[in-house]
Amino acid sequence: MATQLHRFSFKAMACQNELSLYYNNKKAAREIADQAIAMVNALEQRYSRYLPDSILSKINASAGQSGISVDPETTALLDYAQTCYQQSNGLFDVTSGVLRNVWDFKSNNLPKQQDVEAVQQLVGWDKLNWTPPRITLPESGMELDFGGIVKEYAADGCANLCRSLGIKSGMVNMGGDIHVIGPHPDGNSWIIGIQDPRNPDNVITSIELKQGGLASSGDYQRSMVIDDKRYSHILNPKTGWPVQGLRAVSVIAPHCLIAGSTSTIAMLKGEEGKQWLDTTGLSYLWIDGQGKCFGHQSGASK
Amino acid sequence: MLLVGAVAATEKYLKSLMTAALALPGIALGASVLDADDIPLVYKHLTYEEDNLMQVDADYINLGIPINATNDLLVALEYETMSGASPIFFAPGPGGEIIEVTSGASITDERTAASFNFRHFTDNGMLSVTPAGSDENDYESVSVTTEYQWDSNNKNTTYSLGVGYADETVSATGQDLNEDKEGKSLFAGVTQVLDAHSLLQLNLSLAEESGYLSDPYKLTLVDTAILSDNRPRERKQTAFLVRYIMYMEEDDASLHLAYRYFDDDWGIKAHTLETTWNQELSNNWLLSSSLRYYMQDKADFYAPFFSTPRADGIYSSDFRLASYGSVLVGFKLEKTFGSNTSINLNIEYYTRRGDLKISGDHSTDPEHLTSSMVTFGISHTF
Repeated sequence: MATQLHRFSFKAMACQNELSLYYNNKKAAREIADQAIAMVNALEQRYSRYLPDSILSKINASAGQSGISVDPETTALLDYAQTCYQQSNGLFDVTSGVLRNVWDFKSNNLPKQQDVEAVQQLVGWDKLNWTPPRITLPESGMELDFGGIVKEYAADGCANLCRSLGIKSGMVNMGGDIHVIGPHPDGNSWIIGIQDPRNPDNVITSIELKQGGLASSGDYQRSMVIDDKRYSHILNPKTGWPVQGLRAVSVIAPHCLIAGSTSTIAMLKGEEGKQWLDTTGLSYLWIDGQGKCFGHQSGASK
Repeated sequence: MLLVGAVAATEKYLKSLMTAALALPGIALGASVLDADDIPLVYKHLTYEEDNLMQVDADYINLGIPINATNDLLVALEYETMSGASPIFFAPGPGGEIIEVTSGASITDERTAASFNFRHFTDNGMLSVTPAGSDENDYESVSVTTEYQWDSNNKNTTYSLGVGYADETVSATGQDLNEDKEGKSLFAGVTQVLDAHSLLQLNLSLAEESGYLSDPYKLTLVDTAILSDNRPRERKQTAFLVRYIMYMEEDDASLHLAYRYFDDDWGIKAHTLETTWNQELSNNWLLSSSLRYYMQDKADFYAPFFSTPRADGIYSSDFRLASYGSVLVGFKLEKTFGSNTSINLNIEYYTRRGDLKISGDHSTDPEHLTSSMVTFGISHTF
């Protein structure tokens, strides 16, 4: 049987996801997809903050106590989170999720500054004690949130698993976090549409990718507009308030995980993110507050 | 100044994120321990024929056995039968030409060999220990090789270091001979990823052999006396290999180029140049074609026959120590079924002649030899 494209859709990590795999046998492709989906489900079981038995929930439940020891994979994820924190001068902070307790984007109401300040006491990677393999959240109420890490990591893990099982052409799309396994069998790139942040049904531009990760971050995913000013879920952990400046950033990197952290850090940097992206050596696209769109292809990526 | 700052920032940011990301089990690549559910098994059958004189049939089995999350074992077993005649010495003919004297009787032998490669994986390295042994009617060998490989520079550079030791016993059918030989080797290598599509490999190996290094079945004609093959009891060897591999994504192909230099203190200097083109075809077929050229200078104590004795009493007329050149052409066709099974057929033709040596003297090589080898293999992961 000739190599054909098989698509497998599945829900996981609060997203609609899709595996697009070229293979010469539909049944074998299904088996590979099943293994990849099982891997994503296992990661969700481990790192969802909604599941009480997840490792993340156990870490969060230990806040205010003497801490808990974690397994090697969680250790590597925490090390990665720490690296992002250091490399972004404290802007990318996995402890900032607790701010959602005061930011309700469905309410169309701004939180009171004193409430933001109260929750801010629980935010800050520098407040916790990470001595691998033991993590201690000293304040009761502190929380870790791997949003922005685990879904991207799952895309990389799926792609690598598919590669190891013989897939050469294919793409993993985890709700917009993408890892291209390899180009179409005819050698052509995958063409990935980039949403218009002010009209998400429209594609503002498209990116061609033969291999590697692509992730986007934008102010449109969860946000509210009050007095013509947009307040997005991209919260600066240092102020507790949404950042302003860029509407959306997409980044191409060898791994979706790195693309995701880089696009988030660029958004958190606001207007400065434009220049900062240039120093990363990666290919990127930004859309600024005026709707201006700019793309740069680095020499390192084809 | 701005540019320098930007480049430094690039390296620092991406490097630190890449290093952290590569520590994650879902992202780490490269050689890895066998999955607990996977047991790869390979069977190969080889038939080798040399000028209708000598025939070898061999069966190989390779088996991978997962042990736990950081250890596995690769087992290789081999059974080989040989039969035929090979030239034992040369004499000057009436017109000055060289006449080959071949043993009248057909020699048969069988060989059994096994090796056990224990691998231990660490975060960025692999330690392997491989005890091995082989047995023939007139030859026994036990050896052990230890190798350590480690990655650095975001897995863009892999280093390896190894040592080997072998202890062999040589005897000969129909002769009262029981001699020992010993081999020690040391090797070091580095593999560097050059860019997304190419890599370069450099290997250096040093080896030292001592003991009985002669061939008990070879004779040599010295003036009018027929003497036993008698080589030095020491041999030091140096070999250097450079390999370049380039992947051509657009064409689903890869090109391998390799050059190897060999030098020993018997006076042999050899050069090997090899090129292989792997081409993926549709429907999971893969075609590899390779071409290898080899040439060597003879050992100092080699001659087809000796008209006057040598002061040191060291002689060999073994044609493998002559000056010669050879060409090998090979084709391999492989078909993969699903993700667990593949079959392959490998055909090689070999020609060896004195005049294939493109530089230096080759007049001392009396042996023209052609051979063919056909290997059929099947591999399946259970």
